[in-house]
Amino acid sequence: MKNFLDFVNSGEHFSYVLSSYFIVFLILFLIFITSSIKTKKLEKEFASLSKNEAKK
Amino acid sequence: MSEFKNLFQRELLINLKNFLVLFTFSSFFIISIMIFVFAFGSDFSAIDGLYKPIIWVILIFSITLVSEHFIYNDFFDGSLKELEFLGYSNELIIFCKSFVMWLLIIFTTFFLVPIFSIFFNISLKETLFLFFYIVFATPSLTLISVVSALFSIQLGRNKIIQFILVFPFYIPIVIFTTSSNNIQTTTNSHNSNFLILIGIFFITLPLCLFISRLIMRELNR
Amino acid sequence: MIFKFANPLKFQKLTDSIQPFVSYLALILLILGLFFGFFMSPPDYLQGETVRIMYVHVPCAWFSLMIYSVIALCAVFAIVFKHTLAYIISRACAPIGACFTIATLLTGSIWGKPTWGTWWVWDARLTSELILLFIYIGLMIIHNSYDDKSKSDRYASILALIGVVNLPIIKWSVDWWNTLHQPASISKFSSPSIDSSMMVPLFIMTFSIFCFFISILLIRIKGEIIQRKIDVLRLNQLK
Repeated sequence: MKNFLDFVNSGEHFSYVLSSYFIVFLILFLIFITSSIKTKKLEKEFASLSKNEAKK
Repeated sequence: MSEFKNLFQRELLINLKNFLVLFTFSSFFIISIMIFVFAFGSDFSAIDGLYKPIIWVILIFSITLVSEHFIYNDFFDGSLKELEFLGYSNELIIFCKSFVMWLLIIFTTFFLVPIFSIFFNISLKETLFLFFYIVFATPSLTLISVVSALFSIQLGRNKIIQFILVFPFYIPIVIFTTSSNNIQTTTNSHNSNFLILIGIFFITLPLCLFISRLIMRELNR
Repeated sequence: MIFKFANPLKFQKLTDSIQPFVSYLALILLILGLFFGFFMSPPDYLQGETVRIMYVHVPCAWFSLMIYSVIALCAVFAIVFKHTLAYIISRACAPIGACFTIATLLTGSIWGKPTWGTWWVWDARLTSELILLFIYIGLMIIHNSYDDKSKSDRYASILALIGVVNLPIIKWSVDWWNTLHQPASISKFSSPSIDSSMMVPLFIMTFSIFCFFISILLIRIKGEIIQRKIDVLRLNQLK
């Protein structure tokens, strides 16, 4: 706990560390979300296309 | 050896007769110099030492610009396929093209560098060093640009994509050439960066020939 | 075994079952890594608290290189065996690798400010990492430039092979040139010059990010496989 409190009270260093963690997690979150959304969309499209194909 | 001689003669004759290659290269070079000179104005003290990056920017763009003449025409009129059909290996074709392109670039820059040095107030010694480094750095640049031209054949002559693709590979060559040139002009001696530059060429040569073989195989599909 | 799962459909079935598990594992490891990184690890005697940037910067840098190695390996596999799955993995990896490279450059830049006093230096390690980003961008452009997907896959494989030259340069740039960037602290051939209190969170974060990478990769691979199925269906409809 002492380490964490020292870190929180480290002033400028705290903001450097926090911003770099924020950037990494934001980038990872964005690529995860965009990939998931794109795949979900493709799944839906594939489902509707294969339904049409089956009707034929 | 005779195969190399035949191909070399063919490439040299075609490109010497096709005045467009030399014209494109030299006109682009001179126009770019003019733009830089007019942009800097008459205060030459402000651009002291800046001539090296300027000439490399101009050289890289002009080499990328002319590289398509060496590849596109032969590809679209079927000569490339014909040469392969005649039994010439892909590596030899690309090597000859790059070699002729390098010779023409050196031949043109031999006349253009003095003009450049006059415009930028460069001393004779520095001009000679500059030309020396152009001679040793351009083989790698021409090989890479030929590969990039091969890459972009089916991209509809998209120059920007061609440039983005090869840009990362130009960086080390430019870094080591300019730093070596800087050290040479200040200390008057060869340095390790020059050896690295030579090393880069010996890595680029087989790699580019191998890659161009792969690309040409793809083009024939 | 490899060729059994190299079938895209079998691979998709396998990945569907693995993906949620890997995602949860990444999340658990991330929480654990953050706990160790912020609560258990001490500040560095020289860099102070900023050393904690290492727990995200170093794994991102490792993965930016590792992902390119995966792409290059897939390129070799694709050129030699012409296997569709190798193309699919390569295509799925490129944007993830680019993201890790961007994260590496940004966090490195933030770390550089308090330690070196500048956001950016044209240092061998930083420049070669930037070149890696350009190569990733080039790969992504090639993947999307050609109308024929198989053609773009093959050209991208060729470009990926050329880019391999950059990997040893990035890895050993700190040893070959005098750079501001510090040399590797963890080496296979020597004992690590890093204390275990810092190594534990570093490795936990690395495994967490690895699981995260696998999770995103599996999602993207699934998307690529479905995209190819859609292309086939569309082509059939046209016929």
